[in-house]
Amino acid sequence: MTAAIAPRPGRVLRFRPRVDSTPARLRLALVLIVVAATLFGVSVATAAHSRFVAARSAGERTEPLVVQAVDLHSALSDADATVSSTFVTGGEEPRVRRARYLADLRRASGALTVLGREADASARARDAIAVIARDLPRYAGLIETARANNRQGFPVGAAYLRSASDVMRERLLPAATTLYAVEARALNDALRASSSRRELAVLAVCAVILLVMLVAAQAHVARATRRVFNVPLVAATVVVLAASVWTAVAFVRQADAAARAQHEGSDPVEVLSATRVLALRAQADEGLALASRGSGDDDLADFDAALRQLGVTQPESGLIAEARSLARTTGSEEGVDDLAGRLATLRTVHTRVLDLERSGRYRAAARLAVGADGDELRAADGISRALDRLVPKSQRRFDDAAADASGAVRGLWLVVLIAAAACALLAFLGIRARLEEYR
Amino acid sequence: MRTGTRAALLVGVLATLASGCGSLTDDALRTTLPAMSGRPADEAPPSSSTKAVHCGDPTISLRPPDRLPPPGAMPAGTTMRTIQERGRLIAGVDQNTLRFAYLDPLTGRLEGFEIDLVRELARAILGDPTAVQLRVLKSTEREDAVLTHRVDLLVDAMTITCERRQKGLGFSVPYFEAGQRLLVRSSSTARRLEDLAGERVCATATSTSMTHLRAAHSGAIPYAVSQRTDCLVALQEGAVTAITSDDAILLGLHAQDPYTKLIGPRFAPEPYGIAVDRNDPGLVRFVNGVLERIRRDGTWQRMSDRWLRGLTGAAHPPVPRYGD
Repeated sequence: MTAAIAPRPGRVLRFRPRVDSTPARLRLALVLIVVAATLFGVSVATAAHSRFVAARSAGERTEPLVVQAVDLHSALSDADATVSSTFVTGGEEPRVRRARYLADLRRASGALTVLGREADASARARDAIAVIARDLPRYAGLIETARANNRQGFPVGAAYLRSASDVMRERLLPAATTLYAVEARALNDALRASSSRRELAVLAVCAVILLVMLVAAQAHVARATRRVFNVPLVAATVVVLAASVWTAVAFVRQADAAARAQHEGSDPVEVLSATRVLALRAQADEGLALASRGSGDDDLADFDAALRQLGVTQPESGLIAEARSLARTTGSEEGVDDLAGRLATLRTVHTRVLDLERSGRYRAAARLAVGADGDELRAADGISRALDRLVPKSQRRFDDAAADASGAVRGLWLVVLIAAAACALLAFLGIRARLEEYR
Repeated sequence: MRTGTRAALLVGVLATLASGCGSLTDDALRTTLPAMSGRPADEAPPSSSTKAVHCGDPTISLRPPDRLPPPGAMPAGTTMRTIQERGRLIAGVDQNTLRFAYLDPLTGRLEGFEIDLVRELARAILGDPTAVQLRVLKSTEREDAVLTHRVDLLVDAMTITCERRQKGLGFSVPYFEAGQRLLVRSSSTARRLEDLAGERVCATATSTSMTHLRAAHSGAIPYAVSQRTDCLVALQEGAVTAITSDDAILLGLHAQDPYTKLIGPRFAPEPYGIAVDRNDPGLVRFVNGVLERIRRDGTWQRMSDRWLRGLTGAAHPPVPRYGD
């Protein structure tokens, strides 16, 4: 065997492998097919496995972190809004408000713990977690000092509440926003990695090289032996072709599922959560504006800005429009319409609160704003409940689509390796049978 | 030829499949991020000027008419008539100053000496002490609120100064005589402003206390906040060593924290006046007339006994001085 490619004795100066004989050519063809099959097996199996890992990590690791980041942000916003409206009520704070504030703090620390353990190791995420870990106890301390002073009837309590609100709005919420941005971007990147075109290109190149080898070998064998078909080589070609098509279809199905996970799952979750944050901000603004009794112009302007971003005034732009267009693909616009209706109620109630306040009926305005007037459900609570119904649905859609995305390529690497090994074996069998004719 | 066709076919199939799937975007992230970013931070309070303006005795005010018009029968063309027709008096007040004007957290109502004073004015104009809309103003915005007529008048522990008169504010005669002093932690060894060189001293940004603190050049570092009680937070949190303000306000802060004490002499007089637009002498005279009446019929003394007992200046109403 080795003699076939060794230089001829006496012609040392001119190195030339001996491939001019048919057996030598057949042997070379076999070596090339085995090399191409190995390349195909290793590259395509690696690509398939990396896409599987990306899809699984997007679904099982990154997305839960986005949910935690979103949860942290809305727990903090809710605490701010709850506390701001205790400014207004006077008297001992209602027990439900206190319970809600404490639950918000628990949710925030819970989410922070998970994020701290799992979060993307980027410096931005770590810094943001450090800021919240440091300033959340400070915020809670200021709130408790405010409460202790309030209970004794000391006006300095209101100053502590203002100070706490500053910590919330200048330190905690910006850090929570950073965390959200980092995690949401990581999710988009993971989904993109699980559906990138690069793996398809790798598949195409490897498959084409291997198929060209197989076909060329068959052409050569046919010419040399005057037999049209070499059964093992034909079988090898069919195996490679089938494995390639299977892989391509799996990759495309996976990319589809990843896109579905984003459009029907994570995007609606993010948009709806931002809606919640804005509605809470508007609520906090109203509380602060009432608490400052006539000098809350900044707060009122911010209330309007929040509603503008939501798109309550112009239905064709803003977050509600975005949520509606996302809901259209799954035919779940009803829920969004319900939400939009409740946001509109927030606005009408706000207008009535302002009218009462401007005509000097402060107590009535405050009672209306915190929903103290019995049967009228508080607009903000209605929004919260509508979102509690909508978000888990999108969450489930994400989970299903993410499971599809990883399921589409689960075990694919093994199929590819087996196909590559079978191809090499069949090629060996087919070519060995011809070589034996030259013995 | 056959191989080439087959390869082309495969690539074609793959390309078609690839282009069929939906693409991933960052659209949701782009639209939600601004929403999550929250509201922009408020601006820092502006600081007061240090230059003193002279105009003689700023507490000299306009002489009241001999007889006040009866409630509900204000002469046509006056601000009082506008208030009467509106049905309520809009007054700028504070909500953080114990004894003078504060929000009682237990009841959610504004209470204090100045609130009662506003009610007396409403009684004189409308015959109803509750026909009042109280508008709480930050220390930094109260002068503008009077000048732009967001409030009819301001009863907010405002010291009568030449500088404020020059800005266009008119003042009643003083309704209370306060003086500037210092509040420190009870463990402090400082006894006067000069002992606080190199230390941070808190005052509201646009107050006369801040102007006096800067003008004193005592070496103390001014620390400006936007509302009076913010100073007590700063003292309790250790951000400042002392607070300087009117003794009336400082006593209100001391009542909320027994681990503090007032020190030093009054180093500047702080006469409080009701502020209105200077171009409205009719209103100034009317307000002075109401003050004259409550001084004479014992109402001032009753209000003082209820709210200001123990304060220097609470025993007798200030003596008015009229220019014409």
